[in-house]
Amino acid sequence: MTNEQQLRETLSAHAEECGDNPARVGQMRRRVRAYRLRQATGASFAAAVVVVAAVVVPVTAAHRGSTSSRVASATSPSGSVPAPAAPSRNSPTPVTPSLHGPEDPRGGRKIGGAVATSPADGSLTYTFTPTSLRLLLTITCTPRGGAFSLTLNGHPITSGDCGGGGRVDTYIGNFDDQAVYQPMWKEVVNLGQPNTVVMTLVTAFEPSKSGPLPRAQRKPGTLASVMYQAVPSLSPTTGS
Amino acid sequence: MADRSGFDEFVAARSRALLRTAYLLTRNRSLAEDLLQTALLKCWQAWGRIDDGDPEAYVRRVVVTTYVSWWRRRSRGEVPTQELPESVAPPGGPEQRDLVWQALGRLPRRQRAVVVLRYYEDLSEADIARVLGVSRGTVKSQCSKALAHLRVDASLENALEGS
Repeated sequence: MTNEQQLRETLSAHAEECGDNPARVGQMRRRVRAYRLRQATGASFAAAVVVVAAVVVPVTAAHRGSTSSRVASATSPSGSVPAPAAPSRNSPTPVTPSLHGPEDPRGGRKIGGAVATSPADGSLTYTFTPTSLRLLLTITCTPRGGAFSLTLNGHPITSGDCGGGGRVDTYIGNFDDQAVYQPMWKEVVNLGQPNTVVMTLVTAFEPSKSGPLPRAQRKPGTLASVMYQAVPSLSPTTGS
Repeated sequence: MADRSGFDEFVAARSRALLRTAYLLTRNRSLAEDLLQTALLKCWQAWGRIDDGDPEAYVRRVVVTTYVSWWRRRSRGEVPTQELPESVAPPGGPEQRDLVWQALGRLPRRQRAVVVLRYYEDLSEADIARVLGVSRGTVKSQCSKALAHLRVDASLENALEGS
């Protein structure tokens, strides 16, 4: 049917039409700065968690020990200490605050979001009401070997696997690059009205010689997504 | 601390060529730019290690693997069209190139990546295997599957009969 020469000509012709983006170096610098900020925020949070854990856990353990002893001595004639309650299987998994906090380090404010740990129906849903198209959507998916899809007002926005290492943190959007993202949001977002995001854990696929093979779904883990909107005080840049 | 002094110069000098590859993969200008910048950011983190070798090949590999393993699908970005053109384009002309372009868009991601690397980047099967992190046999089979898909693509069937 087709031949190799036609393929080469087609690819070359279309490659020529894509032009270039002279603002890329500046945009990359901004991305690198945002990345460094996220790293710094994450490291600070991790350090804070370690400090809090180091202080709170021994105090709590000591408090529990004394309480248990008091309860045991009050309720058990033999003085045996009751076994601690088993941890809840559905206890929430901490999510990196730089990705899912009320403020985004790139200059956004949270206008909607949800976190679901081992969701029974394998999905999460939330709504947000934007006043501008300067939006940034964060996504976290931790079920090892899982995959997800995300729709906005029913439009497929993104899909992907959750990473072989068991965690994918990513985002869509760039407050500084409206030329790239504003047209995309414009297609699917209704300004001033509630918009619905649905993130679903789906069957994961892995490539093989014979094509994709279905793997188990409903894996345990966390799905999270937050929509941020650039704070109005930041002056919009024109982008490229 | 990694030395990233040459990163900006690399982006300024070589990213246009990489954007073309990204564009052929995503078939969308905005997504191609985003794919490229995502890959460049990944490479920036490892720049001290890759700057001494062949950074362009490394970045191209990250562009392709990022596209194949994890890439966003937009509503109009990669949904195969059910509407096939009724007119028959003359072989070799711009219209036929459009048909081939649209047919390429209907290929699965990995097959499209193999086609772009083979017929645009002119990489050998061994080089493609290294880029994608698969065996040479897998590249061969993906390439022949891609060509087979194109041969049976209904939009190309009539258009290419005479060629």
